[in-house]
Amino acid sequence: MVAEQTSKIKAILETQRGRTITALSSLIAIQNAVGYLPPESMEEVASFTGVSVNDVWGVATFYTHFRHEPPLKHSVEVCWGPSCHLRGGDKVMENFKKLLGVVGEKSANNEVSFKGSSCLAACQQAPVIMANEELVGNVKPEQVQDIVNNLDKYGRHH
Amino acid sequence: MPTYEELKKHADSEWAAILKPTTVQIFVGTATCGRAAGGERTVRALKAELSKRGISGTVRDAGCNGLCFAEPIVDVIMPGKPRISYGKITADKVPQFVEDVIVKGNPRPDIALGVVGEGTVPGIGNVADRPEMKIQVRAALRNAGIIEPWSVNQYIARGGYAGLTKAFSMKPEQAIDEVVKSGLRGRGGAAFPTGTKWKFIAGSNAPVKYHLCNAEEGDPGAFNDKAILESDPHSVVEGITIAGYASKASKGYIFIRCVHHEVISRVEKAIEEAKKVGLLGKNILGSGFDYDVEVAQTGESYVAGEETALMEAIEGKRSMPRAKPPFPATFGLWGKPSNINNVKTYAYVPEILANGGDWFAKIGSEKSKGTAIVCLSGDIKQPGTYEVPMGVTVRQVLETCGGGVIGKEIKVLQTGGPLGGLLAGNELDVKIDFDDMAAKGAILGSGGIIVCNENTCIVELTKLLADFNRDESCGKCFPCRIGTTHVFQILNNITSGKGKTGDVEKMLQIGDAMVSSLCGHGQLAGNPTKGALKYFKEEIEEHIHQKKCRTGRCVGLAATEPAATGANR
Repeated sequence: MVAEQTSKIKAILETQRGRTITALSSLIAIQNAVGYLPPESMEEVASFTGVSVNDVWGVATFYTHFRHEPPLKHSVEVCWGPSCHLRGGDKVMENFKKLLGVVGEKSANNEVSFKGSSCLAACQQAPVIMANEELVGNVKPEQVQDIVNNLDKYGRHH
Repeated sequence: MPTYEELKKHADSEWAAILKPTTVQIFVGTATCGRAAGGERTVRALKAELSKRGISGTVRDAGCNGLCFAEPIVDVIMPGKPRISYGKITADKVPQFVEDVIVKGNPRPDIALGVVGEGTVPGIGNVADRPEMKIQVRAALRNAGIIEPWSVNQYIARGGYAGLTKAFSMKPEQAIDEVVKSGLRGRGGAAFPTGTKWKFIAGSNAPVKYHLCNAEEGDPGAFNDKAILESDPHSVVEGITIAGYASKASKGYIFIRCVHHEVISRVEKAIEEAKKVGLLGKNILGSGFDYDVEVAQTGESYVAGEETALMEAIEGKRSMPRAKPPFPATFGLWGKPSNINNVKTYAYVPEILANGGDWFAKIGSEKSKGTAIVCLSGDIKQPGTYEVPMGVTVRQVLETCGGGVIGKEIKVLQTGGPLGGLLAGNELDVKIDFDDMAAKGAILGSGGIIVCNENTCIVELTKLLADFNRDESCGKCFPCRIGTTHVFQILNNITSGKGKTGDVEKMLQIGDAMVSSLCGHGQLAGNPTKGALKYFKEEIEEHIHQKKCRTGRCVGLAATEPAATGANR
């Protein structure tokens, strides 16, 4: 398993040829392909980029979007930035947390990873959430139940 | 490789075939604002509906024309008819829309936003005549929402790469002079004269020099950089290439947060298309100038938008700011001379070269030349991206473009991001201008304006900004790391009825102490509190001393006015 994972990571790192390669670019490439940073990533990135393992860990734990566990079946991010907050984002956040039974960054049934975001970049359509990478704007607090029930229908390529 | 004239000729014929088509041509707004409104679902629904009905035609992505409140926006060009733009075409409306507009040929004036470009249709005005467009001068947003964003041919057909061609006919120093003459000042927030800045690296004989385009737009309430990159990436690619020629640099980086996959993908496609026709790479258009542009991705970090932190991130490290001096112009990315400008700044450059610096200098106010790209969000009827000449008033933009406030009145505007300032509702006649706004304590910054109506609790709003600043502090300088946390805790106490005498003084004191931080994040982190105290001292003291929240937003505090019913919330 580990050997398989390691060779997969090696292959991902190779895909960066022709561009500017750094520890950060390598970690981003791995997360984009695998969905998270498997523990083997750190040593592989260190030897691929010539940066110390400590420094790779430093980068991997600094940027907040890096995940260190495999992604769950679904993901929900809710924006708490000021534009969203003014348009009712606080109620949307509250409802998601309640209906998913969020503990830490996971739903009670362990199917949904949940995150508050300081900005999802679509303030024009506030309040905004992201469900399985699909941006959903103008979310009403009372619409949250429906989204939670139908997470299968969200995603960028459905 | 083809000459510019050959490229233009080919591009013109391709664009003409789209505007005067033999089969229906459709553009759908799928920039971030369009996607959040369901634009991608609309694209899929349109493709499915056309195929179901056996209609041949093409559905293309477009960027954002700024009228974000009307997304998803669908433009239709029927054979022999002008291009008509429609608003709020969500996927569920597509079958009826196709039936009416495409099958029956009924232009549906009731749902049309207007005709785009040439031609007239009874009952439908031109989009350019809409009040929210008429007030605008679209320089940086010249192609936004009109073309397929990454298409080099559509960009060239609309006048693209003429600025680069013009630059190549000049000496590099002359190209810089043109930018100096234009009066262009940086649009990232600091408003430093762009031409003067370029001279810093142009004066260096180092063999490797970089131009870095900062697209790490993390300010809540600002979305114009991503709008430009998703709508017209070639304007930035061309701008940074001209900058490279003018200052004899070797490479340009466009720096984007890795979670914005669509922005990255559009810019990379544009770069690929430019390379294919010889507009990037070796000996561009036979000028002898070699230049390459690459997207550099950063992780999620607001401070990565600070110029030295940005260079750290491109080098693959934690995005923490460096001590200055040395300044980037002497010791920048990998120690090489580097120039950093914002997306908007680079996006203006092709037009400045193509039309001359004097053209740009004629737009705007005396000290702030050109246009401001204003992002309206919050309690406003028509949130969107509007490019207005500098010097119009904030009120004009809010009323003419924004369509007015949602609710009774504007209590306050939050401008220039979470490190920016506040502008009270009775100061709306201030001009949109770097200096006029700064004089009022409300910096223009990157152009974000968040509108807050009468239901906004000023302490809660300030707490939210303080929370953002705390969350995003990189942690390098302790005044910022500890100070932002402390200010947030004080505000959190005040909103939960635990405010104490001396809290206000303490927050101001911390704000002053944070000025000793290395970068703007700490230096400006005291701004939200300072702004709130300037205009709303009474409301804050009510929270502290009487344990009252006049809007009823702070749970556990008595409301001095009826609580918001939720109608506007």
